[in-house]
Amino acid sequence: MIQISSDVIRGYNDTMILYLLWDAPSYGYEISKRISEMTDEMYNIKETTLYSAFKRMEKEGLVTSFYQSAENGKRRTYYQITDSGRSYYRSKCDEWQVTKDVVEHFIREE
Amino acid sequence: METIKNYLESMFAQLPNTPDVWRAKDELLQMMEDRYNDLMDSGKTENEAIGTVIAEFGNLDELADTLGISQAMNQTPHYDAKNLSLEDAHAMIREKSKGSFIIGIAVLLFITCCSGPIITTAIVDNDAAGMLGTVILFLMIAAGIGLCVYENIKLSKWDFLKNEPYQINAETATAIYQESESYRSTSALLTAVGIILIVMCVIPVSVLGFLNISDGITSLGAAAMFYFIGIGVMILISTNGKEKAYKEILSLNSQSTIAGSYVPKNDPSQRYRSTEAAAIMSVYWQTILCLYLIISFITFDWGRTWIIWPIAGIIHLLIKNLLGQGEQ
Repeated sequence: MIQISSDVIRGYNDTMILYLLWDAPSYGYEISKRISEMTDEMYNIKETTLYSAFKRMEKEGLVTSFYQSAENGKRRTYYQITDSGRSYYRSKCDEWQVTKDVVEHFIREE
Repeated sequence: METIKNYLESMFAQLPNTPDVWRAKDELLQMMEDRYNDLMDSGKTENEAIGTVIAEFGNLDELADTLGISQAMNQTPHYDAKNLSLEDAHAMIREKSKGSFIIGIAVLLFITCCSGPIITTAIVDNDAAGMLGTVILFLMIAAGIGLCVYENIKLSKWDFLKNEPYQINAETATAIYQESESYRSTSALLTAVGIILIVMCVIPVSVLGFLNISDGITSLGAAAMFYFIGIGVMILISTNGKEKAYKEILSLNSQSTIAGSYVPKNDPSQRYRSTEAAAIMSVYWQTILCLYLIISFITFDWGRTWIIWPIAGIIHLLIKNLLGQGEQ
């Protein structure tokens, strides 16, 4: 299977995380697991990558965090998307359309 | 799960001890724990689960910017501290606490040596008995000095911990920390017993004096007083010695790194604002004990001198509030 290069995808980690936070707050492992599931295990986000993305987005005001106890009583850090997070996500989606169109011109069909 | 915890601890060991780093460590542990439990639930063996979790962890370099620790990450430690194993740490604590027990016995001999002549002359009141008592006195002093010298030479083998850079890993730190915490109540109890014995030393002599059976019996009461004090001081010295050994081990790691999280917070050097105050306060209780014994022996007013203890307690509290740094 072709391994995805983490350098290429780095710019879109935020987009994936914000997409998964769109409907409801979530926590580290759940997001990591859903990324793996949605991409059929083609992309697995590393824990340190995920954590640094959370912290960066929190600093930029795209997400906020809070503590909540899970079913088994364990305390977890949950992340929640903010309004500016939503508009950032929209702009990243537009950016991706353009990027995809640009790169598409240079992909040769076999 | 212990393997994963230790892996994470060792990854973070040399990072600065700041709230941001703590949060990162906690949250990464949450994620790893979640992943581990999920893998175990899906029927993986423990080894497989641990392998996957560690493989998916990523690279700490990615956190450098987020945590503001890029500088610390690129900095190699300025020395290579050697690792002290858990076995060695245990051996050190065992030998040091045994050592302080023996020093305690030596001090017991010093304090009780003058009971020699008191006891012999109480039994037979003549010159020969006085002579024998004096011989016993010097024998006890000699034995005490012998024990002190022997123990100092024996314990000097651990001086390398002070002279060379040593560190302990997270596993050892946690184990020693837990042991020192569970020793805390024993130590508090022993300290109380020691102080009670010292304060009660006057009881046999006053009771026997009150009964007034004979002069000989009354002076045996005086001898008993020395044994009360001696045993009390011995208990205090050996309890204190074991606690100090725990603290010495836990203080090996630098407090500025995550590995130093177990450095005792109640270390006097960190508790007071000025180093002078810390230096004075580190010998506060020893000074009070000496003062108490000196004043009591000079005045022989044991019925009143115990008042030194509550007063010393209040003064200690005052100094702590005035010069202390406050709880963190």
